[in-house]
Amino acid sequence: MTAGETSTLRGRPDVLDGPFTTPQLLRLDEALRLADKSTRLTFSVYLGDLDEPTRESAEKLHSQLPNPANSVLIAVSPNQRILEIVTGALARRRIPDRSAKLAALSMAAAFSGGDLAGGIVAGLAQLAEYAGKG
Amino acid sequence: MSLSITQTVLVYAGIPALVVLTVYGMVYGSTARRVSKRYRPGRPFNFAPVWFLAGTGETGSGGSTAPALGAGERAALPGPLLAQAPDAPAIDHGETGGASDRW
Repeated sequence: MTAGETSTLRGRPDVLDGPFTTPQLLRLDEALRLADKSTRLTFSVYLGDLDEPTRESAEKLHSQLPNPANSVLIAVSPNQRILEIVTGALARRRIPDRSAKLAALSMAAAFSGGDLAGGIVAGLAQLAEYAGKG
Repeated sequence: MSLSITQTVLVYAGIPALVVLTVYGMVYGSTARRVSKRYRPGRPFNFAPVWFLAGTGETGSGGSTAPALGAGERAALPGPLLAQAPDAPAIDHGETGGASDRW
């Protein structure tokens, strides 16, 4: 059902041709699983160009997740140098916009230093911490 | 022991030059061949869009690897059919929040 699943049949997952090295992918996977497990929210990370207007585009991506109300989407567009964090209606009660902004600030700081994976992992940990135990 | 001029040049210039070239080759030979994947702000980022979800049982792949959804495979997520059309309006699931930033 996912790209990871289908491509492993062909041997080499497509994601390895992406911007991240294998250790970075493992760290990202660990961060996502920990965030999901500790908060019972669904965190997801989108990395790629967003259509203009970017906010609406990110919200549209968020609405395609299985359970949007309980989901948090981190959309990063390195070309446009834009970061959007979208929280669903229920997730928003756990992660107030002000906390999301704080996480966005620290992520953007890491991105401006060229550290995409580190920024995403740190942002995930920060958002999960704000959301608290689920 | 006396060295001729050619021998002196070979020993005192040739050998150090050889060492320098060897080290240079070892350092840059491997990195020059493959393009650095590292993102640098302001440089174009030419990778296909990816979408990461935690590896739970629901999203397949047994939770051991980071499953990524290619942008073309967004439809793999169980969602309303309308949402899969590129020009579909955002479906209202209640008010979303969050934050934006640029760098």
